[in-house]
Amino acid sequence: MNSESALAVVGVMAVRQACPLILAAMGGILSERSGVVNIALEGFMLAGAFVGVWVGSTAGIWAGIVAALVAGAALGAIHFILTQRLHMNQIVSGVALNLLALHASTFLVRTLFHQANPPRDAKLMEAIPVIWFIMAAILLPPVLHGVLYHTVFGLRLRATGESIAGTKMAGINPLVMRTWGVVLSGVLAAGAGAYLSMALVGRFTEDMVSGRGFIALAAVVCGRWTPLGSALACVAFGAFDALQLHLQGTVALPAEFLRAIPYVLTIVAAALFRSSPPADLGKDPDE
Amino acid sequence: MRATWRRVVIVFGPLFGALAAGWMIIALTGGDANGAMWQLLVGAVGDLPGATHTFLETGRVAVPNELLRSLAKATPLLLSGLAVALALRGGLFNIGAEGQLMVGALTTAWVGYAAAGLPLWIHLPLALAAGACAGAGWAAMAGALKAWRGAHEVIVTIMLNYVAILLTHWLVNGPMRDSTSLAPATPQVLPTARLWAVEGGANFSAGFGIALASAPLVAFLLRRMALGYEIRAVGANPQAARAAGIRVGWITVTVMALSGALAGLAGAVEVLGVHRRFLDAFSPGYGFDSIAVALLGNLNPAGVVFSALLFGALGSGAVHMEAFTGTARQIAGIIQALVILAVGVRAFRIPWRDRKP
Amino acid sequence: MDAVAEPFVHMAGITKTFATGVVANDDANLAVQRGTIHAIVGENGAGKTTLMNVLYGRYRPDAGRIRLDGRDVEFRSPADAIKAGIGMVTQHSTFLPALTAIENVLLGHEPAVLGVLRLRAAMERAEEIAAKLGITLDWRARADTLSVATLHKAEIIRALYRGARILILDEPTAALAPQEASQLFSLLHDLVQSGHTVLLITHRLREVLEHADRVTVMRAGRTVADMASDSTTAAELASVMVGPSRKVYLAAEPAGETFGEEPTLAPSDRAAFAVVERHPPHAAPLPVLEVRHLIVPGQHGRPGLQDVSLTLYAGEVLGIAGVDGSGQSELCEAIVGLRTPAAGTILLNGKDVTHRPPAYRLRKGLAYCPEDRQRDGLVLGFSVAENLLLGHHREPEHGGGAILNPQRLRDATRMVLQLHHIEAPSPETAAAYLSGGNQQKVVIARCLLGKPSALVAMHLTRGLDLASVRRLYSILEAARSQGLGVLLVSLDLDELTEAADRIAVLFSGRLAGIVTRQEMDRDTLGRMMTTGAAH
Repeated sequence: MNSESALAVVGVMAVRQACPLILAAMGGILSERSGVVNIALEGFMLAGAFVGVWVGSTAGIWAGIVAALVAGAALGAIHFILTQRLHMNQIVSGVALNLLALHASTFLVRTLFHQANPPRDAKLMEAIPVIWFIMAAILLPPVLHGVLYHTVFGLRLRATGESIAGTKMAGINPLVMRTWGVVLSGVLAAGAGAYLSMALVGRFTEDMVSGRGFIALAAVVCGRWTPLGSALACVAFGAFDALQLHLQGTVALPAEFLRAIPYVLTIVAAALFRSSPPADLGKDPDE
Repeated sequence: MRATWRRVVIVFGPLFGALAAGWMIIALTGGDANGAMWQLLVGAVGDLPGATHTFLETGRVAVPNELLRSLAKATPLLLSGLAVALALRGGLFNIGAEGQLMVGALTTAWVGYAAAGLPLWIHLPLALAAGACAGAGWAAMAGALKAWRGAHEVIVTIMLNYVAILLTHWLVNGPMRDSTSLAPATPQVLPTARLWAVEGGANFSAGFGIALASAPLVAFLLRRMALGYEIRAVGANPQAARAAGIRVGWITVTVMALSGALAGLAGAVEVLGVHRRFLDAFSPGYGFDSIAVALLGNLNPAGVVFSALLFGALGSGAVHMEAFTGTARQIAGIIQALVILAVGVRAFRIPWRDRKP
Repeated sequence: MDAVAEPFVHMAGITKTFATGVVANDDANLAVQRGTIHAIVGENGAGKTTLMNVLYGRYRPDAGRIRLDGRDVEFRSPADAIKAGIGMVTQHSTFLPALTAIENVLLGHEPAVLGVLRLRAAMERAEEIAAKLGITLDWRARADTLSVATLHKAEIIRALYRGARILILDEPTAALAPQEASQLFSLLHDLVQSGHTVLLITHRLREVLEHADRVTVMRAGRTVADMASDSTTAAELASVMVGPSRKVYLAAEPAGETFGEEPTLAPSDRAAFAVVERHPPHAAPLPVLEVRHLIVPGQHGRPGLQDVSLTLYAGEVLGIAGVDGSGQSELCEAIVGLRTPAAGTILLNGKDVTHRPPAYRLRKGLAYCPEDRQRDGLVLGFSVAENLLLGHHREPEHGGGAILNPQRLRDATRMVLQLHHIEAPSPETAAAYLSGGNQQKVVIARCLLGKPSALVAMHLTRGLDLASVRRLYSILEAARSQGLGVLLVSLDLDELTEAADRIAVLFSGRLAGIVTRQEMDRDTLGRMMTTGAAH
């Protein structure tokens, strides 16, 4: 294999890996910019991945996609109600929803398909061209950038994340903005999950998201809560992943080191950019 | 009296609610819910009535194997649950118990197989201490970044989990791999570093005693020591603690280190008592389940003992249930998640929240 | 309609009581003529800001009515007030720091087509308003990069952008340099020229005399005087503002009506005073705390501290007076070590502690009673005993030490509860369940536990009932007579003139001067606090 085609292979792989990260990271931005910590992205993705395949394989592809997005919205709504109306700690809620999604999806796949790893469903993959998801992942960051900085919705969403009190003073209901932020974050993350299971792999396997939700969260931190910066971080993380897969066994550097780079970079970013998260991120609306 | 009842309702209400939800999920997915729940119970405690009967009749103690398995399962949950609870008492969310546990386990395994020629009374404590220290160091990184750089401990500990998993994965597949083993694992620890264990596959070891003894030690630290007092003060009101001259940053690092030490110890007893070596990815998520354990235990050591035993029983009962009824064991995980949700809604409400006009 | 009879803004009989029982406005009346600058003056806590918040729709009054331009109005929220043409610029900027200036101006009233902001058009309009007032502003700059003066201007433009005809400004010059303040006033005069009406809350009497047309004086929630500003003087305003002295702080029993030159004291307290001469306390005054040329940078547009030097002697109470935000917090926190000074020295019992951590200073005889007892003073979830231990938890004599001694702590707590008459069901009761007065007594008891030589106490009696105030002062008197030096920060002049031996007045982060007991004259102090003039 010559170096050009190797580069192309790595490039294609990078895009495929970055795609779900970008979708989920944009979801993370919507939630966190409205001031709600969302470490449940991982669980949202897993739910979307499972529901997409489950409904998709019985009721048709489009029903599957819609069901996945609805499941994400529902989980987002639960996260919103628990944290904003019942005043549950946002991290506790996220941890619990992650656990719930992991165990429930595994339980259901075993109960409904009677096996841990059902075989690929070819019709799933043929019906949904990967290119659509890739287009969505390419378009979403600039679109979200436009929404955040050039629309009334975006301005109010950002204002809510910065100051609940200030937002109320301006006559805006912060809970409405947070509802949108968290629910849309569920929809986007579930879409990312559906991409993984329906388009990329063609089946659902246990814990198939395997940390991508947390990587997306890491990309949000590294991208300093901006759509373009976070998308760039996702592409970089996807490239590391692709490179790692490609180089496996060919270079002296262990693959684990490459795979650890996103996590280490996130820690470095969290330590360096101390002032960047929205000022009222994680704050209870009634405090 | 009324307060006691309230506490009982607060603890058992979510538990029974979650169990009922589990029952419904099994029923809705076409399973035999009653049978599954019965097997869950049998798998958790075994033939306890029979064993009691035998004991009363003949005086012979025969602990059911199922019960031993539940206690064995509770061991790492108890230690890492104490870790999460201790950090939370200091106001810190240690999501990284899983990573600290892995790092601790691997370090213990290394000391266990590499440090040859030591007598048991040095080798065993040394191996345990090595695991605790490794966990402490791993967690202290998150504490230090929080204290001096303001990096959020949740983000950092989540990321450190992945780094720990990848690091141990690399070491156990590469430099530390036992070439004779089929699965990626380190060499067996030497006999001088092994914890006493029951024969017969129940996985019950002296590690349970270590875990059980840790609970009163943590309680003593929190209730009776100046350091524990400082930890609680920083956790409850860092501003007041700072105004009273307590070094909040230093306490942040210390409490994370202590929390990591407990999580590292959890990994150490798993290695020395159960597996006798470090197996790649041996933890089924003890570090994550420990968050549920700590919350259900109301962040109080005695409560953590109770909830660890409960979740240990739930986990081992679920394995039994799966074998006998075919109901997938993940129902136990679902029940755990529902317990956190039910408890979490109450646990973090502050009754004296300052009200201003 | 008769233009003379009906004022443009008319508030009548406004009464507002908060859930805590504090009566912030008590039958307050205000009449403002169209096209004037109308000043509202009064001490801290006189109810000025509450009255303006009622007008702005943030609080709903319990009683009273508001008429605007001859019509009865009722505001349920600021949005209603904004619609009626009222704009408010609060003391601390309400701009969100991370948004740009123009985004802050628009927030809540965004011009948009199909949800897309018309930022350019909005900017042109804001620019137009700014140009009329001669203001230039970088609209795309984040609010946290703008100076306080610029922020004030931007907030005025926001109010005008929303169509305000009546502008309320709450202490707009508190954080401004003199030149910036005079710029602001010429802007206000321009606004009045173009038909706007300005309501101005201020502490600075010179501003009132120079720029306002009329002035209303508030005291203890009531409007006590209303006059044309060219027919009054600073001295008159200051004396109406502060009113007759109340003298309640040192009385251990309900005070008699025989106020003389001396503070009213119970016989036992008089006896204590006889032992320790009030001023100077010792033949050779022993300095316990010295602050030399202290410079502390200000945050959030506050002045910080600029070259302040003070000496606190053993057995004296040194009062710190000044309007809120004149540098009191910066001074106290720098002394305790919670804030790092840019320059200067702090000596505790003659030893330089400038670079020592708080724990060291507290161990070496400094005690600190913070500004907000619930936020900084107590751990509300801790028991009374545990709260007493805070900071002493390494001292074996109070039940502390590496391993705590609960029995000794319980005994010590019982003794303290009894000694200081703290009403707590038991040492195990959570501090959250105590009354405010008892909470503060716990904080003071803790401060005195280590037998300190100097106590820094901020807003000791804020929001407390009279009985608690007296109890607190009798506790302090006892400690003072044993040689404790007290640095007492208060916004209440009555409290300071009664309790302090000397009063240092801060104005905008500078030391305006130090007044001794013989020279303590409320008018002088008021003038120093509001104008910064040395006495």
